[in-house]
Amino acid sequence: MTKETENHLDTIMDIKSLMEKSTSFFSISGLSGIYIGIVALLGLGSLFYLPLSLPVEDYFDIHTVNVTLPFSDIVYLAGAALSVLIISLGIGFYFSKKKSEKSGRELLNKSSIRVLVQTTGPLVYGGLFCFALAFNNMFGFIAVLTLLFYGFTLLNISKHSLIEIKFLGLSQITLAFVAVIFGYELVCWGIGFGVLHVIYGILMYRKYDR
Amino acid sequence: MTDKSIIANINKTFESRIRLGIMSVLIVNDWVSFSELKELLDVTDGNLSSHIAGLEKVEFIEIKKQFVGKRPNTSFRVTNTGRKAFQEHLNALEELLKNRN
Repeated sequence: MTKETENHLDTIMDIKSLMEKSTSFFSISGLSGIYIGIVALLGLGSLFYLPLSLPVEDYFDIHTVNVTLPFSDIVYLAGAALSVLIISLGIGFYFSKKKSEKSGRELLNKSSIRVLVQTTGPLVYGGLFCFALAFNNMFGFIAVLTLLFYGFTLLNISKHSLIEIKFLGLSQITLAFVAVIFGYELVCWGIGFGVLHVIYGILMYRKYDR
Repeated sequence: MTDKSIIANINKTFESRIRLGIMSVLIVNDWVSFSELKELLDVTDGNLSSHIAGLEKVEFIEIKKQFVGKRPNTSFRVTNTGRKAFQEHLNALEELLKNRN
């Protein structure tokens, strides 16, 4: 294939992918990133005030396996995690809906719903996998796996959304690796779900939402 | 305008990847706002503005300025001329590919 033919092919592919992307685009508001980050950090902080049987870091430590946790621990941890998740989803949708209303575009149309369903697979499977791990008393892996699966999901979504989402996803995956290799799982989790969301949220807000 | 100069004009306009991108988006959507284009194409304000000006100059797109609350909101739509030109450009590209292979 000559260089020129390659160029034409690239051009056509770019055109077609932009056509597809623009009709199923998922516009995410930077503001949601900021608030989600704060909520995640608050959720993390709340663990230090709950009557747990182990030091908080231990629940994030990948070496905490084959340890039977008291039921109250599980209730508190699951409660905190679910609260953060549900509130974050709510924040995400609320601000993104507000943003799309401003531009007169429907946030959820047939195409973007299709994209949402297609891309959140890793999140669902990851969640189920973490449940399975919990049933087998392998709690230590759950925290880093949430980073990993969330990163995958973001990478998937980024193809239909803003480019910053891709870098956020890559950061989460990197943090998962760092946590497993070097330890500091709690800190990595806090950075991934907390600090990075705030930073990217600010960046995205300043770039797109004003 | 002669045929030759039309072709020359079309090619020149679509030489820019960004202009091609703008047209691609506008072809399959109705009115698209400036900020949406910016998100889709990942370009700076100035860059996008200059390419839009170029496309408006050859009357490939039309511009609508309105106020959403207190904020000015500019959106764009492809014109029939633009749609035709873009389609011809696409056809030409596919034709070229067919002949090479």
